[in-house]
Amino acid sequence: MLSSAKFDFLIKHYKNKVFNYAIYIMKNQMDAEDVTQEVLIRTWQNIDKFNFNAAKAWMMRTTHNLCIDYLRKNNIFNKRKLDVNEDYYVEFADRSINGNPSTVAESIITEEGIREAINNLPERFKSPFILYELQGFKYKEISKILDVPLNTIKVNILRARKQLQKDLKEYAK
Amino acid sequence: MQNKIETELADKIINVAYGDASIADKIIVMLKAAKNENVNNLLEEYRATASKIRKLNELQLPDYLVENVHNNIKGKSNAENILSKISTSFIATFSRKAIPLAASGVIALAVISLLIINEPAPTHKYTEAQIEVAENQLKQSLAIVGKVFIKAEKNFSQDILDKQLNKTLNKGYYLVNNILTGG
Repeated sequence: MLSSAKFDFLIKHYKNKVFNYAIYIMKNQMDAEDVTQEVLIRTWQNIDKFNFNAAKAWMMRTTHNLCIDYLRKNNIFNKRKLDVNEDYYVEFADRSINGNPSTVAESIITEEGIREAINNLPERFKSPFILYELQGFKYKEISKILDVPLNTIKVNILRARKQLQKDLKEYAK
Repeated sequence: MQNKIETELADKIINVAYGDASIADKIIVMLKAAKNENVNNLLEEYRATASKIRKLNELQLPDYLVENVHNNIKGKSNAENILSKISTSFIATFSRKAIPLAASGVIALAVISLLIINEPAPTHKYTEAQIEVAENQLKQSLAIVGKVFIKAEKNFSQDILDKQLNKTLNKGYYLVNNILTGG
């Protein structure tokens, strides 16, 4: 009963974080869905084994490892592009009901541009950048999740920021 | 420092723009930005980018996937429950002390029985003289037993029947006679 409550809590709070991370790494929504499902199932299977306070980090580490394994197995590293999901456009289109359509359209383009730019980052920059900027992890946590030295994480995040700045110059204006 | 910004300062500017610089670095960058337009522009550009990145909407995991996970877990846990019940009952049954003891006893008995059955029957050979002696001994034994039976029969018919039964019968006849004769 307690396990079930823990699991429901984790699903509620972290399912989207796992999914978002997977979609950036896999560059493909279907694969990201598969990985997310697997992570959630593994979370349930190990619900009483890992420290609940570190559950988020555990889930992200599992997500990262599964993504890497999946990409290696399928030999699709860096080959796939992010599939544009029409549902997300519908979602954004719904927002236009309450806002200025031109502003909404601009925000869609900008958002897609940013996502594309993040996706195009080299793998060693991308994972720490997503975990830090989009998932809210601290440097130490990222170091543990990715099993990379702390200073390397800091340097890679800084390089990712510089790379993005170049790529997003047109969106930043 | 006129047009080009040193790498070290640029790194500090980026960190300030993304909001994770130390207080000392913030002060340094702010002072430089106030004096130098290039520094200020770079800071603003990075700030704008950081702001846009942080405004990215989180993509939502489709609900059916969560349902799939729940179904998968339920299915697995049901199957695991059945398996665990079977294994638990199996372990519980065979972990009792009496059953392994009884089982080992039965096995030992079966082994011993097999050994006995398979053992060839003893084939002794006696001489005729020995057989004759044995027959005589048997006849004598039977004769003794017969005598004992005859004696016992005599005792029964003479001592027990005559004395005990006759006494009782006589008493009965006596009483009947008295009644009939009115004595």
